[in-house]
Amino acid sequence: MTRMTILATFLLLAAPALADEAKLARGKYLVTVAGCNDCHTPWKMGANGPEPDYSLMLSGHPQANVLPRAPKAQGPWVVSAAATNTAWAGPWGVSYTANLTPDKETGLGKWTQRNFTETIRTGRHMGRGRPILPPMPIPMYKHFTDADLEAIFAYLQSIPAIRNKVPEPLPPEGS
Amino acid sequence: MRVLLLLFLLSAAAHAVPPLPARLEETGIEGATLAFTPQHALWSDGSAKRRWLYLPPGSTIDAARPDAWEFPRGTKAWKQFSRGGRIETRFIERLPDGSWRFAAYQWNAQGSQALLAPPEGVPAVGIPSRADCLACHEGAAVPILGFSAVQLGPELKRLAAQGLVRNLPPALLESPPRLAPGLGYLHANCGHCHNDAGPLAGVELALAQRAAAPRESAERSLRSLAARRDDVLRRLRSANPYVRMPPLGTRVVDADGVALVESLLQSRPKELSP
Repeated sequence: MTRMTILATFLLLAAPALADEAKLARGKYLVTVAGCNDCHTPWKMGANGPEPDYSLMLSGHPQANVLPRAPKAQGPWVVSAAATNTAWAGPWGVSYTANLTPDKETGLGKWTQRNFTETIRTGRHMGRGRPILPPMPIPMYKHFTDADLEAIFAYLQSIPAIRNKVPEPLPPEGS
Repeated sequence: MRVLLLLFLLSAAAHAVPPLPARLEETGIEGATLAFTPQHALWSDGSAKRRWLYLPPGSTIDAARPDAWEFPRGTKAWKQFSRGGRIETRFIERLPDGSWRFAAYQWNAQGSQALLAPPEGVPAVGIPSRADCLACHEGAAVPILGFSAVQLGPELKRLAAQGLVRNLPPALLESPPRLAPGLGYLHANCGHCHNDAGPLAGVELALAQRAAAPRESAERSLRSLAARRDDVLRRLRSANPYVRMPPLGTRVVDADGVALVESLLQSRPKELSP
């Protein structure tokens, strides 16, 4: 076997793994720059001020953090957020950020690529359920390409699973 | 070469799909082949509904696959919603390439004319967006949800005799599908999304019934309900729009439907024990 044949065989065998690695790296990049950690990773107070708690990376609003009723909107101030940045109140009611880790019971572990893509495209849970609520920027994110959404989903499926059952959203008071 | 190009252009023109008509009357609703009523109704906040189907002349529905009927190209279906007066008429059409398209027509206040609703729907009166049409109608094996072996049951013999449906398995003609009311309710209201084959299969809640395997699908439903009966009932009873099921096309809890499901769950304790 010539050196060229050995090299070609190696490249042929390694290509899929290299492609997967590139996809995961692209997904990590997109998750980072699109700000997913801003809301889906709970924030804590660090030495230099608030910072994401990466021990809970992308696991959504902590189940144990039961919040009191949201403050009433006053004047032009219509939105409020919890200190963790994982719970938001506004004209839509109260929303809690989702667990994006691959935990099978409380995260995206049983989701398919189609479920994920259709959620972002339609703004509905799994593409056919309840509306995805603010502050999730669906009107912007729905413009991600299919390849971007595949990379993001692949990356999210590769991170550590964290069991955390996020509370259900609440409707506006009096509705 | 020019001849080939001309033939190609003529063929493309013959298969070009015209845009959705601006008025309901232009969809051909007056020429519908038949009116029909499914055995198990989809809850639509108490709206009265009427449904029609059109098959192109000489065509039939192939029912060889009892739970995935093959509708001919050119099939059209309409469903009209009324609350006091006519509100909207939804329209599904199978195109020459085999794909389906969906639209809704909104009736004016006088009930004299219905115009094509915008793609984003008219949420104020409950008219769904086209994306929301797909959310329900793409989850099942065939987008026409109410015209199936499970939903037509006792009508199958008549439809076969009229030559509208062919290749129905003889066993189905002899013993048409008849579901327990609670299972029928779950099939009609939940099964188009919550089934074993569609995009939500991972949720593992199989509520669609199969004419080809009625006992197996009923047992499968009861088994999958066993693990989450409390959650199913909680969502059916909930007034929270972010929690309640179904999430589309309804805002009002269906007390009668909830009672049917409660009755089903109470009457099948053995199958529902985890």
